[in-house]
Amino acid sequence: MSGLNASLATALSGLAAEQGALQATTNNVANVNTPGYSREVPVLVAGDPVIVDPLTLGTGVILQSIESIRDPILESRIQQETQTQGQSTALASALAQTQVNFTSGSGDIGTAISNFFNSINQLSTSPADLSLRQGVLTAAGNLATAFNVAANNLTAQRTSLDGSVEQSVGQINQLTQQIAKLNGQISTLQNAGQSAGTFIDQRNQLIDQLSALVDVSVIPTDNTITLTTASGTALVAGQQAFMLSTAPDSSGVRHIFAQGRDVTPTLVSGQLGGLLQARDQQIPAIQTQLDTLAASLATAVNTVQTAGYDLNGTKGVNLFNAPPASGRGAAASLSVAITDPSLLAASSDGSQGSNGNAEALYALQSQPLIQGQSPTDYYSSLVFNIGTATANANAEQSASALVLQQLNDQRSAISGVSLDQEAANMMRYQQAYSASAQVISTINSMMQTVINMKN
Amino acid sequence: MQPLISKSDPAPPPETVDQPASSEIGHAILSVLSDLENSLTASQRFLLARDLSGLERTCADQLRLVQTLQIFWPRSAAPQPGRNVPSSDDALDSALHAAQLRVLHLSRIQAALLARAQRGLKMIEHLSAGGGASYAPCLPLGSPPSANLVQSPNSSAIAQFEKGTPCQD
Repeated sequence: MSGLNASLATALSGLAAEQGALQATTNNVANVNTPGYSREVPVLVAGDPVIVDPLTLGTGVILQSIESIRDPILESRIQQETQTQGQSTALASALAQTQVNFTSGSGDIGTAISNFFNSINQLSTSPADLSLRQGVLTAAGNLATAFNVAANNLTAQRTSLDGSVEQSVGQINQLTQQIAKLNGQISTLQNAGQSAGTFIDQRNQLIDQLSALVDVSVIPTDNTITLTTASGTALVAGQQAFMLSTAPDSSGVRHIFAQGRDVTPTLVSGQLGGLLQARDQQIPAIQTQLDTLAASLATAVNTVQTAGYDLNGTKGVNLFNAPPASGRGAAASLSVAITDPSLLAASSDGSQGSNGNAEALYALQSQPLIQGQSPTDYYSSLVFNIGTATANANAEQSASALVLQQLNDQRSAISGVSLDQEAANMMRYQQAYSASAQVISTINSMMQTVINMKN
Repeated sequence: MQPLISKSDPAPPPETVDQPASSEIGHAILSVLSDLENSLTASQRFLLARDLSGLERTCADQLRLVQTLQIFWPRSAAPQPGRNVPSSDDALDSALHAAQLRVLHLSRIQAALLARAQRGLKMIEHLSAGGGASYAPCLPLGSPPSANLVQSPNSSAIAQFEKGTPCQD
């Protein structure tokens, strides 16, 4: 009887194991469309044998665990590329908004510079004509307005990016808290020897989301993970999340702090990296170039204007209000200093018919006033640089999308659910279950025979 | 695509060359740009699949196409996007402009993908180099030694690290 009972136990272990394996397959099929789900496979091992001298008999099968199939290196590459994509997307978006200020149109700086010099050119044909003089003042006003609008838009964009930085930090804190909580659940399950596949999938998805926001390094430790930024700032250690915070500096720009330390310059990837790059590098560089252009142009025009004579034969006065000595803020504060058209110094000798100074003013258009370039050329190169930076950011974004698509396809091939494969597995487990059930039925029959023999 | 200019064909004497109409040149350029676009798209696929032979083939194609383009469109006369396109046909002009922008965008993507591939190869190089490798950024061959060399009797390894490794490529 003990032999038959042992066989019965062995057959029962088969039933239980195949039932568990079928459960894994059922779960895989149910999650075929679940984003981030990694397929599960049952790990079946033979039971420890028993020695019944002189024989060594097997004791059936044990469903040791249900494991999720993942490739950690692939996961890491996906996270890295997600960071790059987040960074380039944020940068491309910010630069696209910046580019709008420099798009050729009626109110752009390039057109305003051309119109200003064209109006001076017209004035030189009839220097005493008050309507032409008024035209120069209007064009000068439009030029100043174009600089003001562009500079103010850039400042507004920086403020808006500042808000986005704060929003991103909030999202990062939310994600790190969720990851820390999941770390605890995973750790508890794994310490109890249970499968934490579902929670690990959830955690991986959250890490992917975090990667899109900030540069993250994942360091696996015992049954848990530690997350840091690429420069080593701790974000999550086990069940502890380290919150980031923001605080404005003296100029009102928000800096990011981790445990009291300013980590702003160290964040270079992810959406936050892209936002910071646009806010702290790209836009300030454009603002500086715009200020240089405004200050140089205003100074050059004022220099020529004050060297000539106005319609009344008196020495000319500044056309534009003098820009700040440092040039900082020149574009935002550029304004026309005179409202009386007769004060325009078109004459070079004090006579009303002279147009010598108007021609000198017009000649400024093609003179190398700023770093060896004429105002128009300097502005063109500024626009070209913005366009190139935008195009490069867009290309980086497209390249990241291509790489991510490929990596996700690879992940799907490894971790994704194949319905064909699951259907085949289901049949295998079903047949094995039926076979075990058949064995039980046979043993039952044999037992019945033995019981009948005793009667 | 049929080669537009065959190197084996003897060049006719200048006085016998028939000057093609600008629209013919424009269409020829458009055709080369289209081939370049297809080649760049193909090389991106090869780059992603790490298919080196395919990448080499498409890059050779691209080089040939650029050379062909330079024959039609000398560098000194190369137009900036959106202006000076050598044609009087508006539709052709806009088609050329659009093709230029697409090629430019695809080239930028290819450059970005190549930079990623280079980083990946550098990582593998470091992984397979072992403990004796220098991880300092490589310097162009023939570069003068760095000024911040560590000068101590037993610091040759540190000095080499500071100096950088000569590039082999």
